[in-house]
Amino acid sequence: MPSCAEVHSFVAVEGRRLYVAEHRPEGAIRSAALFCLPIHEEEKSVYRPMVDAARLAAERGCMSLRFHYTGTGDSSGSPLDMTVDTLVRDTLDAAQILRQRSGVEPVTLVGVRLGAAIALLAAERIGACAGVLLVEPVPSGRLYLSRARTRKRVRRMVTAAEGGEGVADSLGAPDQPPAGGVFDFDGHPIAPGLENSLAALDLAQRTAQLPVRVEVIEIAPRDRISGSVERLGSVLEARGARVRVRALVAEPFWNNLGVVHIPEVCQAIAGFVAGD
Amino acid sequence: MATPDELIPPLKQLIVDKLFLKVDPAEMDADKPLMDTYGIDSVSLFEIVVGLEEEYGIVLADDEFDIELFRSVRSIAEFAASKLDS
Amino acid sequence: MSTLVQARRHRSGILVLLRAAAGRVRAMQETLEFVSNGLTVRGIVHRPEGRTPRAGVLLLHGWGGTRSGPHRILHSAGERLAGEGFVCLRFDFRGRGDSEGEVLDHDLNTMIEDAKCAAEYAHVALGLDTLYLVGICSGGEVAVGAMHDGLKVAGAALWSAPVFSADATLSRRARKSASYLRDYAAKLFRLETWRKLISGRIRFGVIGRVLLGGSVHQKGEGERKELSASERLRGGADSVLLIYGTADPIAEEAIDRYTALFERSGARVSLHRIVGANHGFYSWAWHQEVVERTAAWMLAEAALTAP
Repeated sequence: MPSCAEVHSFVAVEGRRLYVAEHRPEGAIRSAALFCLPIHEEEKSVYRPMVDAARLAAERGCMSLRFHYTGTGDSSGSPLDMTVDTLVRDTLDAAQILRQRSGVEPVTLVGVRLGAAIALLAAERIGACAGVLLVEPVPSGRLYLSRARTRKRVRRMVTAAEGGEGVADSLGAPDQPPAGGVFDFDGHPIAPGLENSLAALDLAQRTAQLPVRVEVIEIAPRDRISGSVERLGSVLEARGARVRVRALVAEPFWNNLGVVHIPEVCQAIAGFVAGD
Repeated sequence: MATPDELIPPLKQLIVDKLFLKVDPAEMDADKPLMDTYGIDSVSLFEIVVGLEEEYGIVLADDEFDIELFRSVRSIAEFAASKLDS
Repeated sequence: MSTLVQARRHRSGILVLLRAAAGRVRAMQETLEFVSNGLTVRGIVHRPEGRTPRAGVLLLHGWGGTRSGPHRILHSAGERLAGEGFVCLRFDFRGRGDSEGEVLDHDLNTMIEDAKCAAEYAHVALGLDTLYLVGICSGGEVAVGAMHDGLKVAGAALWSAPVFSADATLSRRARKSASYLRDYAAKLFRLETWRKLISGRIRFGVIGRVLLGGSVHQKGEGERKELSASERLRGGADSVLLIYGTADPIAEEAIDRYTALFERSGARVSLHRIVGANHGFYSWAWHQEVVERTAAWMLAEAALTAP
């Protein structure tokens, strides 16, 4: 049982209904954190560990807010209207809700996978930001889309070996979406608006100053930082951020089809947002 | 250019790392069926494909997604060698 | 953005769904909470607006999922069915999603308890006397388990439900083994394991014994036996819809077992196969086919029993 109060509700924001889950410490609120999840099937795998992390953070005095982007989870809207801009807009709206409810002005942003990229984009526009934690960030939308297609091909390859898939499984050519403009990613429609905005997303190309504390956690099989994460750290430093990059040995939980239980990652997140 | 035999040891390490297998890479039999021996599923195969891309820059073409390619460590090594050679 | 604007912009199967949506009643989502065995279960109710509900529907997610289901299919089903006048409840089982409880403390047995609590909540708090169950994958097993334990419903739609074998009361001892859950989940979702499970070569209990060393059946843990070929349900359903993909390796044996089980219990059983679909219905077209076929079945069943 978590030693914090949880309130789950819908909040009306400019014609949208955002689902938000608030984790309020029992004692004084010392900090505030907003959790940005990935989208598509990764959201399902990451969902519960972020609940656990938010509960741990609240136990340490950090009021935490989770939310569903419009067109995902329980929030209103269609996934067909989703773009990188709508994801960032929802994040900024959720940050405002967190500020109002917690009374804490500078909020900390936590993002996992594509949620990390969204958190970083939101941090540029959020005003008072206490820090950003990026867990296994997706560095570019092109890479995300490329891996989405690879994952789909692997799944199809395995299923074909088990009996074959039908024509309903639209995949499209390697570098372009199928006719109609909607890429079917494991049952999630990726409309041209999202695809195009993801293709334009490249964290290495961002130049806006970001004078905040940033921690990048790479989830890896060994305690070793990859070149791409080191480069991201350097880019962020050049933008004025105080950066710490580290590896955490854990499985790629965002791809897990089963129950995900990663207490070490949850503890790392709670420690960062609580300022430990 | 690397030969399949030269690629087998690092590929074993890659597979052990990526799939968090609790085996010594040196103990792996390069010819044993990967699927049956290590219970590899679609998520595991995805990790191996991503590993090939990250470590060797090998990107599979659409018509190269063939389950036979992932039959054993040796079959992956032979494929990787041919891609690196081309 | 209006429905029609979206329909013009996106040419594909999505067009069909959005056009069809225009003629239905509006539905509203509200948050939902009830208590199961001392812990808060959280979820969502989809309520049709401005009409008397036809019936209630419990949407049951799978082992590793949340109340939205894979590719948000339970959300789609909730919206679709609420648009036809059904009150739909989606919730996270204890230890999953937003609900209370530790991940390692919960298993198929506690999922079944939660489903029965949700049915009670639907009846007592929402006044829904007629109930349908919809379960995907292990959520289908939960539906069968709840009916086996005495829950009586008007209908049950089982999507890719494996053969019920919930001998899975392993959690208390499992916590002592850090790697247990990962290995268990990995085994659970491996296609070959599914085949072994349904052919009787492996059962959860066997996996537990291998991993934990020794018997998993501890006094007082309430073990649950695999449904035998001659089993009868203490509860049941008047009608059952089975939906499986033709590329799902668990399908054929599960279809045989469930058809026999429910026909023996006096239910009307209908089967819908989705050509080419895999276990998780991982394509938008299959997603729509599952939802639409279920809605059509439920509307027909509701019409049969309407006063």
